[in-house]
Amino acid sequence: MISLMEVSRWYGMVLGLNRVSLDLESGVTGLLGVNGAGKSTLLNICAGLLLPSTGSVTLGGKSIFANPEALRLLGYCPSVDHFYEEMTGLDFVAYLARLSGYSQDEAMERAVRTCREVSLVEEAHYRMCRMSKGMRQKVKIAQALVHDPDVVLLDEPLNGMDPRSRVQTIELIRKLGEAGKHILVSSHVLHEVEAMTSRILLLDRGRILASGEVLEVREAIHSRPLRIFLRCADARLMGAELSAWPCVLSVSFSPDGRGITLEVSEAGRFYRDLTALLSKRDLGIEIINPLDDNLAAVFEYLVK
Amino acid sequence: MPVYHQGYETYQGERLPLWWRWVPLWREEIAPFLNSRLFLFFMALAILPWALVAISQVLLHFKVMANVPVFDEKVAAFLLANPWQDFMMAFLSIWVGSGLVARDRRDKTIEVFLGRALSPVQYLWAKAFSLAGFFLLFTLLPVWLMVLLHVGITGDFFYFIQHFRILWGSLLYTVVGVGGLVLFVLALSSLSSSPRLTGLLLIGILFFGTTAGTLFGALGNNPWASMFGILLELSVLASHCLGADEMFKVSFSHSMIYFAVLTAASLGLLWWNFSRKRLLR
Repeated sequence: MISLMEVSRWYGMVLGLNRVSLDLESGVTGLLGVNGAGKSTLLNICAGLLLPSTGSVTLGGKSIFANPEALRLLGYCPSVDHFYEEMTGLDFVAYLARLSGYSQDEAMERAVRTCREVSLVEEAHYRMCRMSKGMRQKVKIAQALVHDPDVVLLDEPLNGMDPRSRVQTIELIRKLGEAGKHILVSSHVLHEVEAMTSRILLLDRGRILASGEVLEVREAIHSRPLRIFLRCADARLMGAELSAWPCVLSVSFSPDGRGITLEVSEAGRFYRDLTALLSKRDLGIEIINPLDDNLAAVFEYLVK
Repeated sequence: MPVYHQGYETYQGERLPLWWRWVPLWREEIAPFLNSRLFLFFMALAILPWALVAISQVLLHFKVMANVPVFDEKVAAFLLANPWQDFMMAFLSIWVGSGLVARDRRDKTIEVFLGRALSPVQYLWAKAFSLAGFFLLFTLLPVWLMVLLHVGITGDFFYFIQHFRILWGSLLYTVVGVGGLVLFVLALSSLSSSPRLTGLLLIGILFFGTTAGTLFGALGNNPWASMFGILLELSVLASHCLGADEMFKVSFSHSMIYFAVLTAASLGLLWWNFSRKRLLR
């Protein structure tokens, strides 16, 4: 839907994005990176707010920059607050719905519905200046969704939200993704991204370091073998058995003698072979716990 | 608390065509002014001279009053080019114009607007029309209404032909002069993210420029001194457009060039700011 081709962006002498190419698929994609990695620059370029220094950005095959035909398909929730402080949240969302071409009644109806979807009910009638950070954040998400866009860009949408609101918003984003929307969410909080999606786009110093499913990305990091912890009745026997496998690089035993930690080069093959082994012999395995196939590990290995 | 059902069904109803998307922005821009009694009071003051002349024309026709000049090019030029009109133009420019783009830059709402299906041209058109709409209420609109009133009460359709210059002259004045002023204010407003600073700049340029132009003109007897003040130039343009050439010493071409340069500079500045959305950085 949204496609970037060799996009670079300079801020004077500073390179914000470095030859980024991507096609945003339907569903939720988590955009990760440390501060200054280029996440907001990427989102601003995708939203048509910044013109790339080189390369092209298209949405539905049309160039996105200053093109209302393409921008009508897009909803953008920026990271910083953008409000008329004297307006109520509901009025602001309805106003932006009117800018998207809905009649006054339809705009208000959609604004009420969208505010409910982001769990703003009575608070939607507060003036912006009276709203808490979390409420303002919900208004920003509501304005990005009110015109039912196909592509939704969310820049740090969970900032300032209380835990309950975070859970609700994560659930909403997941549902939107399941409904076929193309969603790009940037966040610093890895476990929240993990709760929304398993597909990531990892940026560092303006370059895409990795993109795809977390497990695929993890497996592709050959310099760091996957670590798997096993607890079983006879760890020595198990260790002797597994150490002969070509995909097992090392075996170490825990002090209590019941646990072993393996370093594995090919996780898929290892799990297949292990399943086959367990179907033949009962080795009394109690726990199989991959230690570093999660987003935090991927992020740490690639960025640090 | 439940997460409510998301209505993903594609909207099947009518949507405003893309080219009319500026209308809600314009409506939202003028709404606070129309809700302000003080603003409406000042608008009434701006229209007051026109209303008085309209009443005097009716009284003249029904012979209730005598010694009132018939509404013609000179009366129209006087009404468009006098200190009261200048003051009102300046006042409105500052009140309405200072926040046009600056307020959106301050609140950062400009990112939200330009991130929607709204092109920079539509955005600027909505903003310009907000100010121009108020200007029209005491420039072009009353002139044409006065002509209609005159024809209406006298039944003299030859008036249209005899005084055709009032119609095209006032139109030319509005397009070139008022349009130039609106673009200038808009460009100035896009320079800063502080409506207050823009307002102060406008006060300096509109009030002190006009005063400086008048003073230099009077002291040095130099007709070119009018170029210091946009409002003074606007008066010069009005008098020329309506054929009251004796009111000012500078030529028609001088006025036209002045506003052509002003408009080109303003458009250039707006293009610079908006073409690559530099003001979003």
